[in-house]
Amino acid sequence: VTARDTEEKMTTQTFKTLAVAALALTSLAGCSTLDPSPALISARAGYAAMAGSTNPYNAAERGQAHAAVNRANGILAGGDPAKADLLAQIALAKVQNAEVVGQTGDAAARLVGTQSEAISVARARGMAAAGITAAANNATALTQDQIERERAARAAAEAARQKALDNLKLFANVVEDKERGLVISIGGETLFKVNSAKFGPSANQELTALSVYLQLDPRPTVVEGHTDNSGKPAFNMKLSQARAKDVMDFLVAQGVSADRITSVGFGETRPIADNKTKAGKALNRRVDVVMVKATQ
Amino acid sequence: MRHLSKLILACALITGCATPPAGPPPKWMTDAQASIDEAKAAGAEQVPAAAEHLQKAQLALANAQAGKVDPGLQASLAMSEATLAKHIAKDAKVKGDLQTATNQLNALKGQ
Repeated sequence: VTARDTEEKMTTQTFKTLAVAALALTSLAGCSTLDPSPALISARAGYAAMAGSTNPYNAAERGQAHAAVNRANGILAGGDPAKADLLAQIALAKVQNAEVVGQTGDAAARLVGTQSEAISVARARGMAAAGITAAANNATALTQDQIERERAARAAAEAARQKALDNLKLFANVVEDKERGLVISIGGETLFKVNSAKFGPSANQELTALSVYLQLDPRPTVVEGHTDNSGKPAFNMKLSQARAKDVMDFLVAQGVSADRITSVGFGETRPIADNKTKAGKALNRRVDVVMVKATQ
Repeated sequence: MRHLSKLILACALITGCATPPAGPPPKWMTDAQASIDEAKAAGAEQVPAAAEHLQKAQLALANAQAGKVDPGLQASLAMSEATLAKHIAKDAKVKGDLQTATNQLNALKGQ
């Protein structure tokens, strides 16, 4: 086997690999029947440019931008281009916001450094640096004050979140799932009348507690409806979809941001217990509120 | 007479349907307005790039109030645009201060 043979073989393999990749891309493009709006294209590109950033000043905003872009992508894939475009505009604003906040943090850090250097230069030349010192002290004090306030606000928010979570645990099963994120599971009978998507008497109190928690935990959220295997599968599917949507609508009306929450019904297809027993059926009739695990 | 009573009934129904029940505005509506107010307080109206996003926020809030497509999302858009406007205004202020401090430092070094 000559070197030329080897080279030809490798070239042939490269062409084959490229051909397979091109075919895969064509297939993907073929599956995607809806084109993204200009806002979504810009939001995707903007987020991609900052995805690997380690800027410490906009970490939270980058996370919000990521979630918003994912949400717009998901709705577009679900076949609702009008809603996807609205979400894309929100995502684009969040991406731009993250960029601006990062730049402001950098500029503020440089401002403190520049003022410190100006004080040093003034002192070295025996100049009265009182004015600059005062300005620099103000800037430093402002920065420290801001850091302290942010720290206190974060601690207060975490305490409030924990308290709201404890309230939820009084009537819901709360599990941290490694794959899915935080899953808040509420029994169907707790929220709804039998075989109906109408809320039962205790639903208002419990869904209000849920909305309080969701407003303190900003992760993207999916409301899932599930049933047991009694009755016809088609009816169960519709019932689970209607129940999940009703819960989502209630949460949005209570103040949970509509751009971070979706609903889906799975009918009887995803049981968590044996449908042969009464207790198992009761466990399967449920609404799962899934706080989606961050992917970055 | 029968026609008259039908007409009165129709008018009553139309009037009843056209009058929405009074009540406090939804939380997302007041939150969006609060974000717009915060952006204005940060000086967004005086910074062209921020003013542009402030206008988008006001338009989205108006759409939400008018009950146009997906008022909840329109209000979310208003909040996002208002937050962006506020941060652009703050960014302009910090960068202005940085420019002043840099000029000051350069002047000191030149003396």
